[in-house]
Amino acid sequence: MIKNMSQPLSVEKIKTHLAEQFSLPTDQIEMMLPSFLAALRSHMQNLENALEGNNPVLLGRAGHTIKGAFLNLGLDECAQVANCIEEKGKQGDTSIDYRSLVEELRLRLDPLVRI
Amino acid sequence: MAKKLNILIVEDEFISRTLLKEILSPFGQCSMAANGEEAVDILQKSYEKPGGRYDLVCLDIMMPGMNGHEVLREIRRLERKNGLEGKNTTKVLMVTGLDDAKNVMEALVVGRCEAYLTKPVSKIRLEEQLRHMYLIEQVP
Repeated sequence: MIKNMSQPLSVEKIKTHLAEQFSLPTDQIEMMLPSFLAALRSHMQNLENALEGNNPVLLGRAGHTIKGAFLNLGLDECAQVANCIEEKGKQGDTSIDYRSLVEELRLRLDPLVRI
Repeated sequence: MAKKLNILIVEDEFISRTLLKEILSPFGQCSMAANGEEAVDILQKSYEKPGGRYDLVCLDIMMPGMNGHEVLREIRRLERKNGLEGKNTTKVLMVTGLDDAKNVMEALVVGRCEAYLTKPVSKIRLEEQLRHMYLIEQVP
C-alpha cells in the first residue's frame, strides 16, 4: 500500500493545478470542474467493476486510465496508487490486495466526488 | 500571422482530451476522437478532402480496441498510399502515461512519430513540443 496519503484532497488543489499548469481562467475552470469530477467518479466505478470481476488485466487498464486523469489534475499521490494497480494488474499479479488499493483511492476521493 | 493548424486529438480519457483541446485550440482547429477506430475513420476521410490532411495528431497509446501504435502505423500507411512524404506528412505527438523503453522505441523507431510526451501534460511542455516540431514559432 502507498503511504503518506495524509494530505486531504480538495477542489481548490485541483483548481490551483489547472490554473498553474494550463493557464486556464477561473471561470473556465469552474465550468469544467463538474464534468472532470464526474469523469473521476466514472473511472472509479470502472475500477470497482474490474475489482468485482477479479480480473487483474482489466484492473490494470482501469488503473492506467484513472492514473492519467489524476496526473493531469495534479493529484500525484492518487496517481501513485493508480500506477501500482496498473503495473501489478498488467503483470497479471494476483498476489496483490487490489481491494485495499481501490479502497484507498475511494476514501481519498470521497470528499471530492462523494462516491 | 501563423498558419492555423489542423489538429486531431486521439485520447480515450475525457479529462486529458479536454485539457489537450484547451491548450491546442489557440493554434488551430481541433477535432477529437475517443478511440483508435474513430481516429482512423476521421483520418481516412481527411485524405479524401482537399486541404483536409491533419498537421498534427496527438495520440494516446493505451486505449480500448485499436491502440495508439496501431493508429500510428495506419497513419503512415495512409500517407504512403496517398503518395505523401516529407513536409506533406502528418506530425504525430504521442501523449501517454506509458514511459517504458519498449513503448517509446516502438513509437519513435517503428511508428516514426515525431515526439513523445508523457503525462502529466502542461501548457509549457506541450507548446515546447510544438516548437520542436516546427509547428509554431512562438506562443500566440
